Amino acid sequence: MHNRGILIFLTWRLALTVLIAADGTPQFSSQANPTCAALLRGLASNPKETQLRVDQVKSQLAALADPDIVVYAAVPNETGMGILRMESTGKGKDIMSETVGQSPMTDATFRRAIAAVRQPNNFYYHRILRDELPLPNKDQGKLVLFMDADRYGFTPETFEYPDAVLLGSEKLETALHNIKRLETEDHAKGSFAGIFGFPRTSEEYLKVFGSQSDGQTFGPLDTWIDHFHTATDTAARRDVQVLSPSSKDEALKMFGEQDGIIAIVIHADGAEMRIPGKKAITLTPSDIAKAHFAKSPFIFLRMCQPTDSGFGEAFLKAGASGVWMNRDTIEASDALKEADEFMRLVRSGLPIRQAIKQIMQKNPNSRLRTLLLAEQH
Amino acid sequence: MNQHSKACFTAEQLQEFLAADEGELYSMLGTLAIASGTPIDLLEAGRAGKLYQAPPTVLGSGQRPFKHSGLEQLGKAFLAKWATQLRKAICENDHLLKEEKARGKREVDVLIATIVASITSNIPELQQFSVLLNVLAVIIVRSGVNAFCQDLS
Repeated sequence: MHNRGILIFLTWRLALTVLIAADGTPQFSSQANPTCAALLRGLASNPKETQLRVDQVKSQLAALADPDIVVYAAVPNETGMGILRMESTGKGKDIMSETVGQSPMTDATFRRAIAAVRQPNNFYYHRILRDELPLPNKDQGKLVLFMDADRYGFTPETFEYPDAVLLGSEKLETALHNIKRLETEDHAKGSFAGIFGFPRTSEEYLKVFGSQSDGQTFGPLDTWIDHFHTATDTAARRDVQVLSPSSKDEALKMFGEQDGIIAIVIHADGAEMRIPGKKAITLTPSDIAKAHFAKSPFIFLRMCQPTDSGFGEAFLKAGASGVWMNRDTIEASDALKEADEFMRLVRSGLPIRQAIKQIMQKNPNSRLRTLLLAEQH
Repeated sequence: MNQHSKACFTAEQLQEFLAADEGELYSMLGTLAIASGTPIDLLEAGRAGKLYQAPPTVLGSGQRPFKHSGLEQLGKAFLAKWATQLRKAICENDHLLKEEKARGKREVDVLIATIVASITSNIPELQQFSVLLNVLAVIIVRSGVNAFCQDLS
């Protein structure tokens, strides 16, 4: 599974702005345990690999029949950080490619800035980003995509492109197909399943939180029990089948049997998600990537991810049609509210992308801290 | 140099604060504002439960935001208490807006010091609370003077 190939992430973020720290201080605050993805990819960028991905995108843009497909990519270089703009002009024609932004900011500073602008109302960092890496305002009527090859964590909204898409796929054409699919498919009467990883007993609390089960770190058990009841109430209201797997294999099998939407709201410790039960189940990105979701469910995923551990990519590799996930830490109650609203909107007949857009427009935290990944199938 | 314009933070700490969540900064402000109040204020805040908060039920390990609703309220109450004077010191200060445009990005430490100096010259009662004023200045720089003033009113 470690053979990444050339996964390009198409992420959709509707309203995110990113900034850049001016002094280049090399600290990225989330220094949790190394994650699967971090170990795999290294914490810093890999300029050669980034360039390889950029070249792939260029060749795919050149092969597209449609003109006016624009892809922006953040590309670290010897003088700092650059933003590359690439645009298709029709099959057989040369693409347009130019560096539209260049800043002396370091990779580490860029990462900090990206994290900072995920906080609402951060004028300071927004201004720095806007001033340092202004993007041209010439994409009216074009389909704009963003590429985050180095997992900086930005979204189109970071660069004030609220309707653009950041999407990862081995094939750009497939990515475009997926965007259309998520914009049009009706899941009003589709099957929904959910897994809510909240401890309900002191034994489960201990298994989920391990050495941090003192009640001072993750809050009291009673509150988690309340969250579980909220989750099951939501599930009943939105006709969601609650999954209670008893083993890792069973959990993956259950995911693979779904053909609609799976809501996963769960505790994560770095690159390990924990499902409470009689026997605690842990799932890593590696476990998920090895699975096969033949019916291509869409995944609604909420868990704490201060750094990207690769869960989104893993679900796509397993066969999910798309993943809407959060970044940073998230409170269980906020996650459940988003899940309820998402399922309400989709049940009302709104296509998945429109439902996500609507939630992002109303909720700054959703807008700034969530992203949508789409893949083939 | 005005003693209150001395930097309270290192450059690295300043960047950390500027990258922090708004709620975190208000929680910090509230914590520091406790010291600017009277003992009876503190007792009443404690008895009102404003200083208690259960740990957040976040969905994972790692760093979590420092958000404390009671302390945030105390921070905002501090701003409300001094709103008239702060408006004069910050919002009606054209020099500050120019400084923000000129120095906001590259010389943020100078801008912080200018804000602190402006507050202390307008509100002498707060001169002794230099750490609190530096945190307040960070809040202003982070959100931008205009946005801060809109919230203040």
